[in-house]
Amino acid sequence: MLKSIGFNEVFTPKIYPDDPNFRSASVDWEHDQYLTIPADDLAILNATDWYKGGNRRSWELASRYFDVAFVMLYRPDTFEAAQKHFEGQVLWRTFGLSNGNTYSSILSSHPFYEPAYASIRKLYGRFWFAEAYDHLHEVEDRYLRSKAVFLPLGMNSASRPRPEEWTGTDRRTLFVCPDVNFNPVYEEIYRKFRRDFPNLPCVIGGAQSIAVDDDRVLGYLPYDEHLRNMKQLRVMFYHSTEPTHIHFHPFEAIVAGMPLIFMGGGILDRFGGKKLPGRSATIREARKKLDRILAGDEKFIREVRESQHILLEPMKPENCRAAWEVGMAKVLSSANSPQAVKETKAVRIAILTEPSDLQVAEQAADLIVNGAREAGRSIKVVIGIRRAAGAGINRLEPQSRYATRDFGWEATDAQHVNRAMHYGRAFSRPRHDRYVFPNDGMNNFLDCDIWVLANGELKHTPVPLRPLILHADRTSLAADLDNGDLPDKWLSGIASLSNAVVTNEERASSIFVGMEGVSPANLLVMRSPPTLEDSKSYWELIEECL
Amino acid sequence: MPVRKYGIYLAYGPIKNFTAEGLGRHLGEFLKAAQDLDDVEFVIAAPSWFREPYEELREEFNLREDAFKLLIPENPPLLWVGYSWLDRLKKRLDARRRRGSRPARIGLRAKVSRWGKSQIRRLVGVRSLWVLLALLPLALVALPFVTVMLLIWLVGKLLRRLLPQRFISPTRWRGKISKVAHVAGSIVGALRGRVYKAMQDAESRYLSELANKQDDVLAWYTPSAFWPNFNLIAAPKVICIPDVVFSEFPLPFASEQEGGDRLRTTFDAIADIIESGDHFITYSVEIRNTTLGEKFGVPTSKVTVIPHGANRLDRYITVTGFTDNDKASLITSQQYLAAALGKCLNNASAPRLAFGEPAFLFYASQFRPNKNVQTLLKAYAFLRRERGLSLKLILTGDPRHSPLGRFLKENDLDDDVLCLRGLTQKELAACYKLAHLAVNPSLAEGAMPFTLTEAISVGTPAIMGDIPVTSEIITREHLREAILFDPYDWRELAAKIEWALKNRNDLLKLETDFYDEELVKRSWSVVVREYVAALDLAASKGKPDGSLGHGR
Repeated sequence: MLKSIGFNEVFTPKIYPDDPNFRSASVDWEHDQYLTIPADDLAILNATDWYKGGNRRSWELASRYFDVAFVMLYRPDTFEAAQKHFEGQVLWRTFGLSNGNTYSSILSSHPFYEPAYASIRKLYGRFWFAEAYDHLHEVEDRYLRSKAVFLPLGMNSASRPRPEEWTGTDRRTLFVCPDVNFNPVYEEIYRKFRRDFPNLPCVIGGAQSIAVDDDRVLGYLPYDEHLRNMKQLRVMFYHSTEPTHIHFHPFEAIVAGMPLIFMGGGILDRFGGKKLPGRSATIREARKKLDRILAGDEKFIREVRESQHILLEPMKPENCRAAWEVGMAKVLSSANSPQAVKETKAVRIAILTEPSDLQVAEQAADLIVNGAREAGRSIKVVIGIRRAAGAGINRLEPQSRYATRDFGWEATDAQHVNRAMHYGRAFSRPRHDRYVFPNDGMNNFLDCDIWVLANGELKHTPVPLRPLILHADRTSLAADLDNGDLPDKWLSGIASLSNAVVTNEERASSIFVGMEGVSPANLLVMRSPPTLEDSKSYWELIEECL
Repeated sequence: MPVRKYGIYLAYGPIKNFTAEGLGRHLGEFLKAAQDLDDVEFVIAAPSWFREPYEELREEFNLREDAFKLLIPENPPLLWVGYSWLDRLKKRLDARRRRGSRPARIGLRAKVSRWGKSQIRRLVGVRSLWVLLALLPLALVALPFVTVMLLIWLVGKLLRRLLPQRFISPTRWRGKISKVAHVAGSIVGALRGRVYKAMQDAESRYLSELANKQDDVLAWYTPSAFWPNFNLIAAPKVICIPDVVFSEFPLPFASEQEGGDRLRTTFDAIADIIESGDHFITYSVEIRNTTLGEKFGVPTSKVTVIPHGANRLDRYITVTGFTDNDKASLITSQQYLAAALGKCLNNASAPRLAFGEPAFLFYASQFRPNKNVQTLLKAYAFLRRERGLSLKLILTGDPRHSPLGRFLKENDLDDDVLCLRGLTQKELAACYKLAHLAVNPSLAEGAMPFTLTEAISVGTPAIMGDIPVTSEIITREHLREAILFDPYDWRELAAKIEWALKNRNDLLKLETDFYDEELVKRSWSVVVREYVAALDLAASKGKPDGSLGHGR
C-alpha cells in the first residue's frame, strides 16, 4: 500500500519474536533492494530486533533515513526507544480490541504498558493512532482520539475473489478459533460456540499452540489442505459481535465463495449494513440459517453468496488507497512543520553519595567524563554529598576535584510524588507508598538529566523523576558478597529500581542479574582497574538511559 | 489606512492594587504603547469588576478615554453579591481568630469602667445648676438600667467566687471563640473559594460569548493561561504563556504547602489550554523550546517569542526642579525606604534603621521554590559571618508561612535579613536605588528577570544567576562573566557578591553601557508591534485563504 501511494523506500524488520502469537509472521527481504541506504547501515537495521525495542544506535540510524515508523505494542521498549531516539513520526498501528477493552484502558491500567503510555504522551505531535478501521478512536481517551489517522486494513485477495471454486460438498460448518488452550479469549469463544451450537456438524479451524481434546479441532493445516477446506466446507460461521475488532477469516471465506453466516453488531455491520441474508441478530437465527445451508437450501445459499460481496469492498486495496493518501499526507504535513529545535546542551549528571564514598563518586565521575569525551559530548558533573544538616548551612569545605552540592535525603509520600510526577509530565504514577528525594534546597537535583547513586544507602525508593544508575563499587560490596547478598544497609531492591547498574565487582554480577532482576543489557561490569573501553561503555549506558 | 481590530481578553478575578502588580504594570505598559498604533484597534473584554482596576490603569499609564473599546458588562453577576458577603465574613472571622490568639487586650468591663469614671468626673465638675437640673431626668431614666447592671455585676462577682477558676477564665473563652472562628473561617473560606470559582467561570464564559459577537475582531489575545473559557472564542486566539514553573520544579510545587491538589487543578487547566491552543506568545526561546516544546509538545511554528521591554523604575524616584535634583531624589528614596522598612515582617526593629543610612543587598522576589532564596541566604550568612560583610539583606517575600522563615530563625538571620512585604512601586524603586547591589539568584523564569533593568534604571549594579533565559539576552561574553554566576553554587554566588561590591563602579559602568546601548532600546512600542505581528499571523492562519482581513 505504501509503495502504491508513492513511498518508494520501505524497510521491514528481519527478526520477529519466537512467540506463538507471531505464527503467521514472515520475513520479507523483497523491499531491501529499493532502499538507498548504505549497505553497512542497512546491515545494522536488519540485525536489529525491533520487536524487543531495538537500541539507540539503530533508532538513530532509522531517524537518519526514514520519516515515519510504524510500531505495534508488543513490548513497551519499542515505544520508549522510538520516543527517545527517533525523530520522525511514530504511527501506532491499531486493529481494535475485543471484550470491551480499549487501548487507553490497557495503557493506563496495566503496569507493564505504563512506559508505553508515557512514551506516547511524550511523543506529542509526532505520535499517531494509525487505526485500521475508521471508528476505532471513538472509544479511546482524548490523547489517542485526537491523534487518529485512518489507514484502512486491506486484503490483497479481496480484489480477486474466486467464488466459482467453491463446491460446498462437505456438509459441515467451518468455525475458526485458534489457540483455544493458549489464549483465554479464544478459549471462551470456543466454549461459547460449543454451548450455543450443540450437535452442529462442524470443524474448528485455526492453529493450536497447545493440543485440544476435541476431534473437530483441525489444528495447523498445510496450505493446500486449508484451501481444500475453504472450497469444500459448506458454510462458515463467524461469531464476533465486537464493534471494534474483526478477524480476517470471514473475508477469506467470502473470497473463496463460501457462504458466511455471521452475528450482527460487529464491524461487518459497518461494511454491509444490517440487511444481508447471512447476518443473524440472535444465535437462534444463526442456527436456523446454518441448518438451512447445511440442509442444501440452494436458494438461500445463493442469496447469501451473492449478497456478501459487499463486505469485501472496504478490504479491496484500490478502495483503501485514497484513505492512505489522505492519512499519510496528514502525517507528513505534521512532519514538515518545524518542531522545537533540539539544542545539544551539555548533559548534566548528578552523582549522589555519602561523605565516606566521595572517592568512589569521583572515580565514577572520571569514568563518565572520559566516556563523554570519547563520544564528543559535553557534560557537567556535580557530586551531591549527603550531609546531616541536609541542604542547610554547612561549614565544611568541599574537598573534591568536582563541583559539589550538599543535600539530605528527604522522605515523602506517594500523594506528593504523584503530583510531582504529574507536574513534571512524567505520565506515570508512583508505585510505592514512601519515597525519598535528594533535597538540595533548590530544585532537588532536577536540574540534572540523570542521577548516579554511588551508594545504595537509602530508606525508601528515590522519586522516579530522573533516570537512576546504581554505581556499586567493590569497596561497598565486598563484605557482603561472600554471603551472596548486597550490603544490608542498602535499600532492598535498589538495583532493580535503577535503570542500569555499574559495578567493578565481577562476583556481584550474578546477584544483580539472578537475584535483583537487572537485565544483562543494563548491567556494566567493569575491569579492574577500569579501561577506556569501560568509560565508553559507561557513557553508552548513560546515553541509553537519557 | 485600513484598521485591523484585535481583542484582549482579561478574566481576572476581583483584584486590588492592580497597577502595583507585575501583571498590571505589564498590561499598562502594553496598552500605553498600543493606544498610539495607527493601523490597529484593540477591544478589551473584561469582567464587570474590572472597571475599577481599568480606571487605575488609565490614570497610572495615561490611557486616553477613547483609546480602547471596552466590553465590560455593566452589572456584576448575582453571585458577586454572595461572594462579597462571604469575603467580608471571612475577613471578620479571621480578625476574630487573630484577636482570640492575641494576648489580652483592654476588656469591655475596663472600657465601661473607664467611661463611667470619666463621666462622673465631668459630672462632679459641673458648676451650673441648670445643667444639673437638665441632667436629672436623664439620671431618672438611667436608674433602672444602672440597678440591673449593678445586680448583674453582683451576681457575676458571687459566681466568680463560687465557681472553679477554669470555668470563668477569659482566656479559656477567648480560646474557644478563636477555635470556633477558625473552623467557621475555614468553612466560609472554602465556600468563598467555590463561589469565586463559579462566579469567575460564569463571567469569563459570558465574556467569551460577548467576544464571539464581535465579528470584526480578527483575533483575540489573552495574557494568561489560567482562563480555560478563552478557548470558547471561535476566532483565532493567541495565548501568552510566560512559563509553567510547576513542571520545571515539580517536587516543591507538589508539596501540600504550595496548595496540594488544589494547585493540581490549576495546573490541569493550564495544561489543557496549552494542549488545545492555536498560537502562543512566550518571552524566551528557552520557554518555547523546553517548557512548551519538550514538556507540552507544542511545535515552534505555534509559538512567537517576544522578549520583554525594559522595565524602568527611575520615574518613581526621579525628582526634578531642585538645585540638586540628585540629592532630592536621594532624600525622596530614603523616605520611601523608611516607609518600606515599616513593612518588615520578621524584625520589629527594622523601622529604626531608617534613622541611619541603611546599607544592604537587595533581592526583590516572592518566596517561591524557583526563586532560590535559600542559596542567597547561605551565601549571605557565609559573607556576614566568615567574611565580615557589613550589609543587611533586604528581601520582599513573606517568611511567615514559608520554610524560609524557619531557615531564618534556625540560622539566627532575622537580625540581618529583612523581609519587607507589599512594597509599592515607589518603595521598590527606592530599595533598588539605595541598595549596594541587587542580586537575583533565581533558577528559572519566563524571561530574563527585570532585576537588571530595574536596578540599572536607578543606578545600582546587579548580578544574576546564569540561567538560559538570561544568557539569551546577555550574549556578550565579558558581560556574562561580570554579571552572571552559577545559581546552584552558593560559594560562587558569595564570591560574585564580594567581587561585585569590590568592583561596584566598574560593574555599574559595564551594565549601564549595555543598558543604554541595547536594553533600553527595546521600548514598549517595539514590543507591542511584535504582539500585533503575532496576532496578524494567527489571524491569517485562521482564514481559509491565509489572508489578513480588515475590520469594518
